[in-house]
Amino acid sequence: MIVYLLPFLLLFPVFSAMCVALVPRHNTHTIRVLSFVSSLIVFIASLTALVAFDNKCEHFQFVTKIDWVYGSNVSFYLGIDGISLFFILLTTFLVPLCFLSGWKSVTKYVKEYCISFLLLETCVLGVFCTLDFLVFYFFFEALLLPMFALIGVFGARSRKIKAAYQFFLYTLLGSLLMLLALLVLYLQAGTSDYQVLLSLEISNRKQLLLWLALFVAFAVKVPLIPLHIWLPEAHVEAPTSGSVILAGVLLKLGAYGFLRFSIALFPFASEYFGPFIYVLCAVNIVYASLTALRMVDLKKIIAYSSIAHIGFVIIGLFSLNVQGIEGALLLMLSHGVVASGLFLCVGVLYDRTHTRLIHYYGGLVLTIPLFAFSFLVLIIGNISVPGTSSFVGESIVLFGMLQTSTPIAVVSAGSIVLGTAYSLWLYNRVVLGSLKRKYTLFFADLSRRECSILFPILFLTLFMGLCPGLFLKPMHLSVAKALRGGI
Amino acid sequence: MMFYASFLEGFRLLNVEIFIAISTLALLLFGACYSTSTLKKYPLLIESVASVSLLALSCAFLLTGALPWVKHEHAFSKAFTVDSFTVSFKIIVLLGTLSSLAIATTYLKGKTLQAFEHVTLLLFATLGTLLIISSLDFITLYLSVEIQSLCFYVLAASKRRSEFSIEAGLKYFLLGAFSSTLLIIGISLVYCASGSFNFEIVSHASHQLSIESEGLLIAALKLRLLQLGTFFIAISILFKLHAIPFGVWAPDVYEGTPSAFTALFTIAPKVAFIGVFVKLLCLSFWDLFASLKCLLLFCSLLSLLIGALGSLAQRKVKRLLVYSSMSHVGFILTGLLVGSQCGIVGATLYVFIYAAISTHAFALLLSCTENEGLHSIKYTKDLSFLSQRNKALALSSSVLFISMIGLPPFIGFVGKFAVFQSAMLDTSLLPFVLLALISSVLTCFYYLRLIKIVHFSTLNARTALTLQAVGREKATLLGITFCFLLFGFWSPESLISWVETVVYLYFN
Repeated sequence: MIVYLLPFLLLFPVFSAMCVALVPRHNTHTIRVLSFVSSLIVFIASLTALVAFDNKCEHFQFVTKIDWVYGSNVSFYLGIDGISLFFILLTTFLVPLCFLSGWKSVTKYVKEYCISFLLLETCVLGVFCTLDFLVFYFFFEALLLPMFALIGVFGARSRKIKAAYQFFLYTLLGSLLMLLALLVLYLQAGTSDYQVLLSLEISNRKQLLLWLALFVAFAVKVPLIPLHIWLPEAHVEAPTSGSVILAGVLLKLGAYGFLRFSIALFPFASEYFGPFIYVLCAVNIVYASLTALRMVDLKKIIAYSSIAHIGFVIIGLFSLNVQGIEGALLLMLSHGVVASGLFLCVGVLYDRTHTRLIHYYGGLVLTIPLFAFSFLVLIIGNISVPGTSSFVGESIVLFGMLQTSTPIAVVSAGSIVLGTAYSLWLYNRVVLGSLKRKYTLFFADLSRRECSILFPILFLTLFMGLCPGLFLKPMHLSVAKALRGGI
Repeated sequence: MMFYASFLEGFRLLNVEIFIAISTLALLLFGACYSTSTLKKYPLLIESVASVSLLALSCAFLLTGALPWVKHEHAFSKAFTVDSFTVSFKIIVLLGTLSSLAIATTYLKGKTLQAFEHVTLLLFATLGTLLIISSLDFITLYLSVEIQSLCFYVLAASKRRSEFSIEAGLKYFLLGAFSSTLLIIGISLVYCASGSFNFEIVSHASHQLSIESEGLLIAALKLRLLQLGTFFIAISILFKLHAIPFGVWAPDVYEGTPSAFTALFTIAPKVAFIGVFVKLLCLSFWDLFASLKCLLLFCSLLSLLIGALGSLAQRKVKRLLVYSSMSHVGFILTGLLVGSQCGIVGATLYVFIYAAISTHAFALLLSCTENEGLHSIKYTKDLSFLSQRNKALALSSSVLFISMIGLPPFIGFVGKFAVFQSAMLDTSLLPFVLLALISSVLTCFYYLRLIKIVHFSTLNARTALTLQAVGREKATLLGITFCFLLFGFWSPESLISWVETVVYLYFN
């Protein structure tokens, strides 16, 4: 039974998207319920993966192989290890929340919205599940299309089209370079099976070139500083649920790619380019934090804070030791939860007032305390105060980094202060202070639906901070294996 | 008696072409007699002639399917050849023609172009195209190219009242005549050097010459002549494929040609000339390939870049489609210039997929007919808000554009992947591949713009018109090609193995 788990995870959203397509358009309630329930089913199914996962096995688990093109050694080869397990869980956890968050705010084209979300879920899960580079590539590209539609159709302003373009073109340029690298590997190995590629002997010069090609693809997705322009735009223009899935999952695809492919396949190049990455990430963290400080749009602030946190993640990955990588993974999970929560909070505000500019907010704690509380917990999580999930992640990353390069560790540790600055500034402006009655007359606290979205996220933020061991344990062997070059 | 038997054998092998020729002549005769009948008050025969010719083409398609699936059989003293490679190309050409005729009939019925001669011309052009594919001799090649082109010139100018159409016909004629001249020069040079018109004999001669040219001055000279001839022939084929810089005329011609025939112009000649190019390369000029590589590289690079950049500035849908077909030709040439089996497989696969994609594109273009005055779409902005006017068309157009970009879940990716894969085998081509990649990102830009126009743009006074219901033939065609675009990606196996079998045949 458990063998069919991964195909089920991939196919069930597609199947339910087909079902949704059959429901008449005016029947929006049925469409919403149907897609929400099916995403919940996927989530529960993915929980069985967590239960059935064997922590003591370093091989890929739940392996399924379905031949695709005869004679080309390309197949739908699915399997997960400790690294991808939590990303899958994160994705399946966030998608039902996204459906809930768009319950009231998405009123036009509900059917298309649900279908593209379900297809997006399949593509993202496909990226995390697959053990074949070519299949990885095509899921990686295919998810552009539903995401393009989500930003371009369901965004709020007319600028959304520009944002959708930028998102698409940036990512496409990167992924086409990845296609070239993939072809080189495919032609050398005669197959695109990931595990075979791991055992491939690649000359140092070739490693450097391939690493650079993959670097562009993943750095766009992550994004790292010179290639980050699309992200704030996309975040601002996307609907709340789009931002959640973008911050929560899509940004991790790049980091996941770095770990799976750049680090595991090209150890020499990863070490060679280490200093380059460190400097880039240090610049990334400081620049993004400072930029976040001068933004006036709530979503942009959180977008830049995402960029800063992802800088930490990449530093952790390229510290190339077990601590650094595990810390990075934990930080990614934590950021996936916290940033999604923050975007959901912004969405809550936006649904009520239809503005995202800080200027119009103030003193919300007086009128909507439940919201103020949830926002506080998430902001604390964003600052990485001890007891929240980010604290564990960031401190382990710094442990790892200290072993590799002290100055970079010092710079990045120092910039946590900057993170504190913009997070507190944001909270202070929005929630504390005097109430601005001039702009808003009616306030409503979190509804039951919004509570049921936010509270699981708050719970996870604190739970991951208090019991990180539960999350780290399944990772140990897989991370150690990835560091050894997968052998 | 011997001669008689081989003659009959020739009839058996070329039965498709002969069938089309006879049925076309019969139709012409029928039309000529019947349309001048005073008793019937000069009936318009377009409808009956079109349906009979659809039937004839379908029969020809079935006959092609029944042709022997073999390696090289010669007909009419080696003037023509029949083998699985040519049969495959014929199948694709016939499918393309069949669908373009099906697309065209409703258009022709509604327009002032109600002359049955157009349909017979289309059939003659098909005959020429099929003969191009099967020819094994430079003379038959030249003559069949002429049959095809002459019909095309007339078809391009068939909308007599339109300045655009006349311009298109004239331009097509002048430049087509020029390229025919180049073909003739090339053929005569090749004949000078090798003493034969037959592809296979030329191949032997060139092989012999390239061995002898080490020592013998005269052989070296002949080899040069042969190379020059090949060069000219290649240029004239590139003319027909409208690869830049030899295809700058294409946008004007395609724009002016009545939309019904543009589909035919895009699909049939391209498939046929790629087929004949591959055949020439494999059968005759394999030893001379190195001298052609430079030309191909140049053309392919220019086509990719001009195709991508030129289309950014276009406002008319047909011009846009021509520019996009230029960049597709660039990709096909990329496959050819690799010069290996793998590359030729890639190029052939790309051509076949391209034929399906452009059939879909033209069926879509002609389906978007507005109610008032049967006005078909001309400018890209006329497509705006298609998603509100006809959801199915909007969906299929998005799938079409995405497969033209070559993104994974659709069939376009298979072709692009095959071409890139073969190009990566040759490390010296790496910079070129990078440029091709950049150009494909550029093309993505305007396809996305089309998707944006279809889905995101708002209503204005012009686009508020409702669309006519899509006709039966076009709906069937759209459905079939849509399924191919959508599901072809998931099981490309049969297509790939088909192409591989027919191409490997020429190498072994």
